[in-house]
Amino acid sequence: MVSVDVRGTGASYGPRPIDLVAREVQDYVEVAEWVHEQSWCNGKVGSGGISYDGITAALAAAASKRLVQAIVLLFAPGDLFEDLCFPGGIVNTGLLFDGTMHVDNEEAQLVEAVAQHDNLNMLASAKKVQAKDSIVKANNGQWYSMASLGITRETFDCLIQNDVAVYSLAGYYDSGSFRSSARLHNYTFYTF
Amino acid sequence: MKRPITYPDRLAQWKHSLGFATKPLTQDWALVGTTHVALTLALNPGATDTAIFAYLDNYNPVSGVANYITEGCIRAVHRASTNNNNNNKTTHVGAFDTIERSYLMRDMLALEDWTTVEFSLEPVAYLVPKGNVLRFSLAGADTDNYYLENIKGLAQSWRIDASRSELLKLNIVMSS
Repeated sequence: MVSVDVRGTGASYGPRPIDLVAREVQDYVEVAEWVHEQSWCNGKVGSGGISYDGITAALAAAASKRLVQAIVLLFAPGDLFEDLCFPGGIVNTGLLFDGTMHVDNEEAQLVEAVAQHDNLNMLASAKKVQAKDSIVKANNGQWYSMASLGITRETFDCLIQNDVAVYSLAGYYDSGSFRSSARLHNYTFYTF
Repeated sequence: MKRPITYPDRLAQWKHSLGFATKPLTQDWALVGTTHVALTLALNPGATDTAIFAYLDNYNPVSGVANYITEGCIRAVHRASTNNNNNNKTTHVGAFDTIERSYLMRDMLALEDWTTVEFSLEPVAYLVPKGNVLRFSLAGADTDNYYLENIKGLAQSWRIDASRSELLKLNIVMSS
């Protein structure tokens, strides 16, 4: 199994101007390519995880042209705006936070890696958002809208085109994930 | 997440909300899926937007304990919906996607005069036992979990037209 800290978090290098940015998705593809090159890889690669890690699995499988053939989405939000950060269009301060990811790795290169971290203050940015297509300025100077980040209907179109097997798990009282699970099912439904 | 979200004392919250309750149920009610709410309301003069928070609770009148069932919220300027935008879709009571919204800037609409605002509560499967009371409550804020200070023209009060509102559309499976 390969476990990866996304850029700008944990012990990984690089900045993370905003969550799930295109460069980060490209990182997933590069990791999948690296895995395929290893002697222990039989060519069958899956990805998955809880919440954010489920989103990364879906985006990796959608972007990687069949390098990732199966994904497990555990409590993964299907719409970052409506299901997670802005239910009903209202800023969810119960979820958003203003810090950076915790670092729990003591590797020698850690200090060097962390020095490159430059993460968005999610809470401060969210408080300026009025709509799903409001744009926020990331630390790299570029502007992003929530509508362009995370799993979208287009992600599922790609998963279907790439013939990816999807196992999605959600529970009541994790409303973002439960509503998302139904939403993900509907994405598939709409496509056929 | 900065902390677990819990609702330890719903009775205390009831004091801050507008509540509606059933009589003690004469049989078990199994709530399945998504509950829908349609409120026809007017804001105080000068206000153009509001946040509406709604909660369903299960109250045991014998023990005096109230348990949270589900909740939902909507910012009124985002109320525009594109229901049934897919020809193949059949919506039904309890379906999670009966109300679809874009949440885009071009669809934001100030709330003026009497207006009907529809929204959904989070989907759930929950058994309210016979003898208990189902309580529905409305609030204009949830300061523990939601930030409203970025809302321009935020209402200080509402009036609700009960004759043009549908407080709850529930998917209830009766059991004996």
